[in-house]
Amino acid sequence: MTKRLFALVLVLSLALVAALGCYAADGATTVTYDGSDELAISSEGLTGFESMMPGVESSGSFELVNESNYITNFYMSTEVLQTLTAAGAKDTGYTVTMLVDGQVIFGNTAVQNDGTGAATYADGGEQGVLVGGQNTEELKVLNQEDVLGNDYVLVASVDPKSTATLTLRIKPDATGTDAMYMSGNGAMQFQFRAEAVVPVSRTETVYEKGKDIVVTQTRYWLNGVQTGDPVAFAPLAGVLVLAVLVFILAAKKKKKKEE
Amino acid sequence: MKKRYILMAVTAALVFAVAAGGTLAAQQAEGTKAVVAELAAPKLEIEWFSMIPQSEGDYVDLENIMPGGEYSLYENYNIYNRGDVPAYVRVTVTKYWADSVDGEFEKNTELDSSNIELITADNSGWMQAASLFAGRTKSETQVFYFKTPLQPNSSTGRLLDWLTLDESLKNEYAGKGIILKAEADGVQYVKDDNELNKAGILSAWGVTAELDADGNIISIEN
Repeated sequence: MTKRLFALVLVLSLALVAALGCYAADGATTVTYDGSDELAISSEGLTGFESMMPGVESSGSFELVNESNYITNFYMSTEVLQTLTAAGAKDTGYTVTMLVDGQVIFGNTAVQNDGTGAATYADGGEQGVLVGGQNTEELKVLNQEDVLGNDYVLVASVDPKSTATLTLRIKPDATGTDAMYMSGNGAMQFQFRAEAVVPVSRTETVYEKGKDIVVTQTRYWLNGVQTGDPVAFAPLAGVLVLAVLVFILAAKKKKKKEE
Repeated sequence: MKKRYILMAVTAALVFAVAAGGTLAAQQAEGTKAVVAELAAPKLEIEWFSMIPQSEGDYVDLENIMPGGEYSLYENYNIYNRGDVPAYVRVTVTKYWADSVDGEFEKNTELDSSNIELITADNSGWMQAASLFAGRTKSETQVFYFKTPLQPNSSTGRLLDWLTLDESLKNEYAGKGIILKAEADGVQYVKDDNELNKAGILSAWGVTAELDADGNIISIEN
């Protein structure tokens, strides 16, 4: 047997496997309000989501800068243009959290502290909200009105000459995001508005036994028009004025006729 | 006349409202451009690197090997990470005896493949896991894990060093062929998150890994 010929046949096959791994780049996009009617936005891109891995949180940040002399409300509209898509990939979920300076504005707030310093949360124990899953539009579920919607929502009130950090965190589900998602792509779009909370001085006169006491009060003007177009009010008033003028002319004409 | 004054008052009020509206708009600002976040999942892709032979039908003559002998597998069986992210890598080698029929090799299921032993190269970074059915059955497979997460654009050390045959082989193995099939796969590695790494290995491979602080594999339990 020892002198016989052995043939060693090698057949090698390669299976690639599922996995993804990432670290969020920390390059915040800056949104600046300086009192003018135009917000300065430092970049058309938000980084941090270029390498999303299952079970790993990716995050990106906006710096909301208020250079005006007034407290300013910042509003943001969010739209998922495309969920993470790749051929054959489907049914995964995402845990989404939005925070401003560490305070949750979209997600679950801590419900209890067990004494160890670790916060615990309701709804599955995650700080973020789980969206997507089987037979859904996955991350696009965020676009639904009862989830986050596409309207402008108030995200922060920033003091004069101050900054707030708005952070978005997204974590693809660890098991639902399988190998089919490899090299997948998606996109989210954000738009901003800001409105100064203008202090209004009002003078009140109080009468007190023959002498006047003048009291000046300063209050904040809260407009609350974040979802509409603020300029639309002026043309509407213009149309009304025009209507009144037409009415006056018509009345004059009628009076002349009567005379 | 009275009517005229009323109309003038209404007009004045509306003019004021227009002015107020203008003031309101001046306190509001809108971004002139939208910001877009591009979402992307990385690519995990590994491949055989610098190995021969590469396809079925290629073979190596082992004319001089005898029971109890060994054959040097010097052909550099490496795995190369051509993806974007680090990965744990393992290779499952299936080995069995085969009969030569008209120049082709057909599996012989009656011969014991456990008397073929594949040996990893020393200090190559590979470790062999205990067979799932060790002591209970004669396994056709040997599973090797690369202990360190394999970084993108880098390759493992040489996987196999030697092939040895048990010295108890009898004549029934004379003239037979040995088929080796190797399959490599990988699992994501995430820095500083060993819990996720262990969960990923368990989910993908069904084994429990013990990892050190740097995420290197210390041991594998089935």
